[in-house]
Amino acid sequence: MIRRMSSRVPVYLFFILISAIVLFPVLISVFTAFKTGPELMKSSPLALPESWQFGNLITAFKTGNMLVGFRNTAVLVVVSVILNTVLGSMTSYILNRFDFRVKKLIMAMFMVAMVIPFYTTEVSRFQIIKSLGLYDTIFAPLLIYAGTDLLQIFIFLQFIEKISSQLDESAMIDGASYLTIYRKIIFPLLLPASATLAIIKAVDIMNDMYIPYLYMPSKELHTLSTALMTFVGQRSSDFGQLSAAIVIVLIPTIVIYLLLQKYIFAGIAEGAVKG
Amino acid sequence: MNRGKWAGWLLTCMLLVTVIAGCSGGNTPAAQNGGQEGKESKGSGEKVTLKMAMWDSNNDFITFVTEKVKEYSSVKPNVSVEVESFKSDSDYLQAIKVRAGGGALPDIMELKPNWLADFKDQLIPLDDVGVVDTNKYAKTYAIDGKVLAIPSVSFPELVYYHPSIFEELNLEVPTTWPQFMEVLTAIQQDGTYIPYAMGGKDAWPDYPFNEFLPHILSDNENYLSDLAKEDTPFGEGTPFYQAYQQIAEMYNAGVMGPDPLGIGADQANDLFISKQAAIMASGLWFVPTYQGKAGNLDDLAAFPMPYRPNEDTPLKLMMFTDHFYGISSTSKHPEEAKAFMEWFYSPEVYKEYLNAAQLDSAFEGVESEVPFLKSFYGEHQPDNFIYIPGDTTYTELSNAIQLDVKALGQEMMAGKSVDDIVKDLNAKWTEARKNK
Amino acid sequence: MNYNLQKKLVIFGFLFIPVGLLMLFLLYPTLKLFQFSLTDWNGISESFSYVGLKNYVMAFRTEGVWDALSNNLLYFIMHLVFIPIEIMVAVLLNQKLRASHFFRSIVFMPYILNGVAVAYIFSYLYNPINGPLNALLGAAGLEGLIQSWLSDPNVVNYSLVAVSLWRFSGFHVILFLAGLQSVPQDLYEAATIDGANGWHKFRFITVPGIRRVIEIVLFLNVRGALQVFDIPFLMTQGGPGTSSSTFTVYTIQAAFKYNNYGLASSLAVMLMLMIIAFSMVQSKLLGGKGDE
Repeated sequence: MIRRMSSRVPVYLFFILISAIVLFPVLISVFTAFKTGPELMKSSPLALPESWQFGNLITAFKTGNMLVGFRNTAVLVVVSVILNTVLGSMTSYILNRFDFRVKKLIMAMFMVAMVIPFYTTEVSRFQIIKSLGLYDTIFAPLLIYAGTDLLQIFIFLQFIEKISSQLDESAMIDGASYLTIYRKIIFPLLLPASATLAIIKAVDIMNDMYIPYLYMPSKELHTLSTALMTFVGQRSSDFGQLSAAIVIVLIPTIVIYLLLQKYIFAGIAEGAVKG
Repeated sequence: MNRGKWAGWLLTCMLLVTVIAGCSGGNTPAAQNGGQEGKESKGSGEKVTLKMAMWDSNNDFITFVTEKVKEYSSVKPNVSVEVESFKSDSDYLQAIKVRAGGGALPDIMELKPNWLADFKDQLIPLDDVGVVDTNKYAKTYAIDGKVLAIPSVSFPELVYYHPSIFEELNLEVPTTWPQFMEVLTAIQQDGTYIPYAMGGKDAWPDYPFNEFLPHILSDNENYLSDLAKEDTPFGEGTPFYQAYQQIAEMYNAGVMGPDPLGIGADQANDLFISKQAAIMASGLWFVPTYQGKAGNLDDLAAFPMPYRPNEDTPLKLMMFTDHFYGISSTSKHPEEAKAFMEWFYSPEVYKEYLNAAQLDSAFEGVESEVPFLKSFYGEHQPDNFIYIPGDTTYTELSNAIQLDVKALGQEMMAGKSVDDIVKDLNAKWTEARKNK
Repeated sequence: MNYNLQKKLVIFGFLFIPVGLLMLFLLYPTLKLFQFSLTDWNGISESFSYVGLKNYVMAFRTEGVWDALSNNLLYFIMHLVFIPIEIMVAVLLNQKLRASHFFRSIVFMPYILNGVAVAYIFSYLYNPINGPLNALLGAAGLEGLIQSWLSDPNVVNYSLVAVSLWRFSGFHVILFLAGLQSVPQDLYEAATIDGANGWHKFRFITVPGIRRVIEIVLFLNVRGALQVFDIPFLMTQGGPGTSSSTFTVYTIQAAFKYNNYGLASSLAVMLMLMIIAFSMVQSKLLGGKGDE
């Protein structure tokens, strides 16, 4: 195979263009976050800040309730991802290893859940949350997020299929209970898949605005998304502070992404495809 | 064989759980409340937290209310009041409606006059609250003869301008619509300033025109309710048509800057405050925002909306009553909430509220101190025109046809013709009335 | 230990919570949705009466519903048009390219960013006064292309679709890339020996190899396009007027702005049916192709 450098140049240019399109909005927000009010009025929005002013970021961080947002988002992400992984793997284990009459029905229910339009069902869901006494507590979104979904089950199922059931059988000969088999054999082998699913779930939770917005209105229960919405609502024309708040919200996601991207891509390659 | 049987049990159990949870959720709020209300002790020992929900576009005012209500704990040590605030009435309304369905309304909630009818099942009558007697407007907005919420403020709807610009361009304050158009056109031709600052990206800033102009032009305070009595109240010859023709004249004159639909309310405010724009219509509540950003009110004055076609009829001033507070029927402490309201509207506390809001008083015996309003009334002495919301029939009809006059305003700015709009409205209105 | 009893216990124990959560938070609200769709409930009051299928008839006859749906169609079509481009990008990324890892990270990044933040960023980009996008066009000498991005009813939907493409295309690329990496390399080598050209390899090896991913992306596209909500909700509230409303925005407004919870519920039910129907049609179409 002959690789001519010249044929590669357009490809690189193409990717540089794509990178520019992706990075342009983000970089503009970063620049704007560091500009002062008067500077925004007179200078081009494309220009670099004259000097890097942290005033907007400090204001946004302090008055934007961002610390509370970080904390609540972190709690939500960690707890619901753990619950979600455990519940999802348990469900998949049962669905793969056992036969029982309502199995098809349960699969069908998960399938129906895939197409339920969110938002409009919230009034009935709200009534349930309320009657459980969970309204305006962090448990409301936790329980909603903890629930497993079809995509997750599919991916887990693919992995469990690859785990030979001979492993189960030999463990049973040794007298292991089903619980032990799940704990000692299935779950550990599912961990690589779990890592990816966990990251995707975490991104979903971090980015969700509607559930916390409806179920946790208190200021002490703001998440990053709802804190951002509140902050922006209060100053929608001050683009300096607005961008500062955006940048603050984006930083943790980007950091996590850069640290964990290896697992994300590996997981997508492993999970989402080989079905 | 066993397997199937127990799996059936599993399913039954889960259905049961679901149904139980569902049933308890489905109970009517009033039924739940009945028990609790009876049990409530009026004693002072029990710790009580009252939730109070409000919205305001002015952040400083939200801060003021949040802090002020904390003082109630020094009057009633066992009661603490917590404010939950929203930035806009639409966010607030959506959150409140979802919660109303779940019976989780805050104890005390803010309302707009035109929401009272919708929430009549969710509010308890306040006729026995003492401060209602001194309120100037509460009875005007009673639903089925009952006062469901207490209005806190009243204020005029104004057209603001920069006197320096009028002076510079030799302009007179307009009192008729043709004069108003002349002023706008003159500023436009001069070219230095944007004549009118319109934040059309948000739908609401066109309300002084699209919502209020037909109402005040009709010279009938019950105009909205009367609309519900006709099949085609929007066509040619109606106040609605007349007003919308005038509005279209203004929107089509190019006097609202290069892209009125591209900028939001805040940006339009900034254009006006920084003197890039000359004129802007809004309620009196805009003054504190202006003062906060401009630092002073030196270059701000206002005139009544010059809606009339000529000087033959007296020019009236639209007065809006707002910041209604009601007590929800799901509140576990309705008596404590009422006691709080007595305190909240006591002259000393209310006076501070009024001064923070910088609006006009809704109570006898308490005068507001708003210098801007004083100087406005020094120059203009128009008759008042009280905004009365439409009745239940009107609300039902307008909901059925999804009437949003402010969104209509946006469509007009985008070029839709008045004739198309009224034709469409009349057709839908007729049909909605037929379906009732 | 008796494995038969144990089995019952473990099935019950393991499924109780997940299935309970599913029923409580997803299926029960959906059943209620069906119920409400047959009533005239306004969403607030304590009573309602059953009105049969009136809401469904109403939904069909309301122009606004169709207008909103046609906006959803635009999201669907534009994302569909982008699928070949996304596959192309994935194919290029799959080559042994210097810095391909870097480009891969960049391409995927928009998907993981906070959606609320993204909507606000683009609101600023489209700003008509001193807005970055107009400034960029100006700097590139393309002033002629400057539009009223969010205020011209003929432009606003394209502006919003662009945001959607920016956010989700990268995710699709990564899915396609994963699909490509699962296609065995020796198939290509064998084809090369047989004298197949690039297009043939793409058509007969690559496309069948990633058929499953294409199916997933198409399903996500149907579901996503029909449910578009946060981008118009946060950026334009469906405006100006109702020109950038979508089916979900319309539904939400019917429920919460116009107190027509019955109609909103019927719209939501119809949305579910549409997603199911579209997905079935799509898998039929794709399935047919695969059998050829």
